[in-house]
Amino acid sequence: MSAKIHRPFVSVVLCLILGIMVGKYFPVPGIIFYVAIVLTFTLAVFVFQNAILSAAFLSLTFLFLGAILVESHEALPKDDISYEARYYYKQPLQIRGIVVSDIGHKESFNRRKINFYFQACQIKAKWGWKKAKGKVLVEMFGSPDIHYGDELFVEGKLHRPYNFNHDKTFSYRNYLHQRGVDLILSVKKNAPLKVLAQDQGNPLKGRSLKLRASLNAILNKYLTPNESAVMQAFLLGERTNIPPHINNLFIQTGTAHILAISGFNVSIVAGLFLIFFKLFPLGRRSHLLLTVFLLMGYSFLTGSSPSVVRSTIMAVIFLLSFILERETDPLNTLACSAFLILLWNPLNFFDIGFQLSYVCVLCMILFTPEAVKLMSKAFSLKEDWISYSLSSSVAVWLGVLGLIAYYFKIITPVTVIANFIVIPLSSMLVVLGFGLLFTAVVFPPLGVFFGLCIKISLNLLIGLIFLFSKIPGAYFTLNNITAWHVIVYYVIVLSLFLLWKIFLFKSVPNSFSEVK
Amino acid sequence: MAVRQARQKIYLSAGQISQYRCLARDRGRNLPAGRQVFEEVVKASVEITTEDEMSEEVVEHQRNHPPNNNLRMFHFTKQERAVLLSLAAVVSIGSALHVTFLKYPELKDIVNFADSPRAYPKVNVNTASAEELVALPYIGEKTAKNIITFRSEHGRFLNLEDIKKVKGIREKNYQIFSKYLEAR
Repeated sequence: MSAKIHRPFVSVVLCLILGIMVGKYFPVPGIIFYVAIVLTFTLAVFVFQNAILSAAFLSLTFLFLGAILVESHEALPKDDISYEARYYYKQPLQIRGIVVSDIGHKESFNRRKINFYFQACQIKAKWGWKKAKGKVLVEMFGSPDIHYGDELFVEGKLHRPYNFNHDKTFSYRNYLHQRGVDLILSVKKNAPLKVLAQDQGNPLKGRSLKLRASLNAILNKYLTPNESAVMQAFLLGERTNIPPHINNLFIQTGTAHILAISGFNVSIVAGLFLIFFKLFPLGRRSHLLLTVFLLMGYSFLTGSSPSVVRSTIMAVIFLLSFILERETDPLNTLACSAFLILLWNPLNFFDIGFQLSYVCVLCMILFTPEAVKLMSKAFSLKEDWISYSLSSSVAVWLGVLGLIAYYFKIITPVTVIANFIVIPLSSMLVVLGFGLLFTAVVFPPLGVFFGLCIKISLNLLIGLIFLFSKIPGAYFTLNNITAWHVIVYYVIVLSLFLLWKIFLFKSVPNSFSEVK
Repeated sequence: MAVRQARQKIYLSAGQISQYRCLARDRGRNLPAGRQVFEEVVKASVEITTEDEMSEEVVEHQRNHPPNNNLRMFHFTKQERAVLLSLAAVVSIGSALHVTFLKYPELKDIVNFADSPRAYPKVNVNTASAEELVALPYIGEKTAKNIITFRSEHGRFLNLEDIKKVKGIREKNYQIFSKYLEAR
């Protein structure tokens, strides 16, 4: 088969991303974008029969759409709480609202500090209660008995997030802004706090948080605190409980990506669901559909971070292709997932997790086959699973190197070797972890065996990562890395890649028919 | 005409498999569930190009390999074998570990690396640079600067407890970051 692969989502998402950057960094009045989009849309319809012109105007339409999405996402209603905050600067303010996130514990002062997102409904003005909308981050000391969905009356001081870090690459204020939060409510220890009602939040989210808490409890029962913390990250996307020294080990060896739920975990979960459903005589389509729904539920359970959503969308498209009897293209599927995520929240583009996740998968799709060819030519290696694993590791490392150096100020040469060993171990841990969660509920005596296997494997994994971090030259920190350094780096890498493709084409012309 | 390719693995997409299944059903032939029949046909190195030849090939294969009902209780699919093997491995390794840890509890402490002090990267407070101190959890730029200033003014720390004399370090935060430090 030599049919050309059709990838409509790639150009659409590239235009959308360009538009998002224009909307974010160019302070142009929104009306201009609205006029432009109407114009380009009209022209695209007008020249519909001309494929090239219509595609050009359609691309421009999506470009302006990106800018409009940024504006609409950042627009605030008239009764938003941020308009009221300036009148209550440094004064205690009473707010009524609903808890819209899980209760988080901050890693300081023996974890007595908690925080959660709070959807404000009313604030107490001088003349009485006044309607005020908006999400704020509440920080308070103590361990009050509050949960997701509780309607609270709370008093504290509203202020903008502080940027304690002088590093320009990370801004806590921007981080919260991407999540729709522009204000923090600091609540003192003995400040008034009252639970007015319960279960006022999204019932689906409430149930998923309760399920998550019970799954965490299972892990805490069978494993030690640090082991449980790492397994919570592998299985449920909960990274906040991992102690800093263990987190640092993963960062120093460039293996922190295994702590984030990504396509790897999702593919294992999908595989386990499909195997489980084979017990039931439902037919292949029903198995696939049920797996699709459960994957969406799993994405919801693990917090719906960009990397989880990306991999879930890609997995769903892949599974639906079996039902619809269509072939899939990884690049188009990746672009489709980016398109959907950016439509939901265009500011996700500036999220570090989003960038790392997409660059990583893009490198695996584009560069791994070429890296395999390069390795087989340079080192006379066979094109088997070892060379594919090694090539994939090298390709991804080169791809994310620029971003990691920019955001985390660290380069980890030991990553390539470390990933070779860490990834198979972590895949085994994910399977064992789900086995533990399942058997602990269905048949607890079997759960003990899973727990012990996890103990051995996990401590082996952490021990190996510790050893890798001790290798001389395993990692080194950088300072003064600017965006220009990163751009130059990626230009060099892409140029070398293109030169390699040209060299390959010129030296072995038949190689292209083999690729196809 | 069907083309025979010796022992060459040919990937059949899910779409093609569904197509072939529909074709076989149209001709009144019920194929068993699962990919196994199709994979075996593929492994027999036959590339199928026409509808009629495909059906004939599959039927011929079924004729040549009739199912033996007596052995069906020992017949596992690939996935069933993988699951059963994994389960057997987990139960046997888990049982062995359970017995070992009951008999020799000290082995459990040796195995438990994640919760042991061995996992903490200890930094020598007498020789560490500001960057090395800042890299440790719960030590910020200001605290690191104060430690280095104190060290340059008063000399080496003879005891780790002496770090409490540094400006800004109280008992509470000392208890938190002292496990990452040593005074040599």
